[in-house]
Amino acid sequence: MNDTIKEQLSALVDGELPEQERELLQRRLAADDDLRSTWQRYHLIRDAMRENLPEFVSKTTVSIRVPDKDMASASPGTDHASVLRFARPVAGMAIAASVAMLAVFGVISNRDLLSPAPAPQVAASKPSSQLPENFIIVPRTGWESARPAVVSHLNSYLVDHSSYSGFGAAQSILPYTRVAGYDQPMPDKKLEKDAGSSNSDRK
Amino acid sequence: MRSLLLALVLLTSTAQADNVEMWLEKMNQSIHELTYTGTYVHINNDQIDTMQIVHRADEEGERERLLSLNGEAREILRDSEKVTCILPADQSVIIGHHKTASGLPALVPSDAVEYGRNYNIDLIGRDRVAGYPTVILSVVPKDRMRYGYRIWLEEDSGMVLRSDIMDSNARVIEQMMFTEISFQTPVTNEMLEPTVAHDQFRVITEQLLSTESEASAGMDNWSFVKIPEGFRIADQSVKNLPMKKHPVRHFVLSDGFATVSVYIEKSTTDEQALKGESKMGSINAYGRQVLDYQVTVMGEVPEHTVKQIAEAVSRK
Repeated sequence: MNDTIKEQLSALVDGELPEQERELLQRRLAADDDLRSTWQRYHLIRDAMRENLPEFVSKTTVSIRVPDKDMASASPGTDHASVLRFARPVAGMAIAASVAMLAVFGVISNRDLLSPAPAPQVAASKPSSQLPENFIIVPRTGWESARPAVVSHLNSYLVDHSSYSGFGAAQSILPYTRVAGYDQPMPDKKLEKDAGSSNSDRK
Repeated sequence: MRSLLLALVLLTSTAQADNVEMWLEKMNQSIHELTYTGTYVHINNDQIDTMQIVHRADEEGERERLLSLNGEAREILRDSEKVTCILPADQSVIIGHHKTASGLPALVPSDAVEYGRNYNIDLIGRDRVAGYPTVILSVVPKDRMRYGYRIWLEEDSGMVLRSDIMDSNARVIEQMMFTEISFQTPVTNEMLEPTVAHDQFRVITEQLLSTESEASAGMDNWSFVKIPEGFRIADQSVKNLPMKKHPVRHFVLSDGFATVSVYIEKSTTDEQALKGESKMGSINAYGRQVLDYQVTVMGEVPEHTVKQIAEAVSRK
């Protein structure tokens, strides 16, 4: 991916891309998986850097409207032709994480990240007990494939383990940051179900 | 000519090794000696947290306050005796105790021999983090039993300003990085007091148990058939952990950089017990039942390492 495209992408994120370039870029986005995930990352990076990464990421946060016919040809098998959905918004968060670092190191310019103009398509939202249907929950309690009872069991150990683990100054910091990270409300059943059904949507 | 070259190469590599040793020492000292305030980003799994830190080291010892800036306002306070976790989502305050006044110096190897046995450590470059010049240490494991690290150390103090933990495919699995730090700001007592209201929260305190109750609880006689190469038992104790009905036997295994905890407790319900593996970012866990006991192993090492350690646990 060349720099011109990256610049165009970040301009698009900031809502600053001229009309005539926008349509062309949107067509490219529709056809190019890599480009699309980069675009998605730019949104998340910017939110992360502004310290307002939403608890819930709207699927439409990482979506873009493209003409139906392009959509259909670019991505057969997608149910909703008018909205291009990224394959794995949740996994995308992990990718965003590493790119966030790049951002800090200037690979992506500050202008991209700190532009005060909110991008029209970013739908960052405060957590609420009643989420719109098209929201998915970003899992915050990290233990993979463990039941809630097991998770609390593991967390109890984690707090204790943290006083022993780590190296260097990170000895004091990193382990307890992990502990801080676990104190997150578990998604309720309904939300899990919603997230589940959206997964099946994408198949 | 060849011998001259060889001598040069040897000379350079010795100088390099000295340097690495010096930086490791500096890094270890910086933990206990520096006073700073700052903000850092922590990335683990799909979770990004921004944390604020206030750390003070003086003749009264060390005190620290960590506050999460996104999501629920979780706060962690540490002094030389205890660590207090204020967890609003859970409506609880968890208080744990340190073993020694200065934290756990025994777990930070003071000589490079232990590091060197399990890792190749090199200075690989310079960089800037949070506006400070840093050197980058690369810590590459010699086998697949542990993770690799890349550590950015501030050139003056040796403070870790950024760290990456990498799996055996050199894929970054956990990162911490300061975005802003000051070593000049004086840290007052007020700045180390909790800011999160927690009067109504339930308080859960960890207790260490005496050796008599250890025996009566049947927590003795545990050992390992074989510990993975490079690891040693750095600590062991029996304690009551928050939210645990029974006393827990705890072994700490260390290889210099990585730490693994082994927890053994009387089996309660199957609901709670971890069977097999689970993970959170760079931390892997493995659980299995041995006789009437649940064994849970957890640490910043690959999954096959926690599994191997769990399978080595036995009761005489």
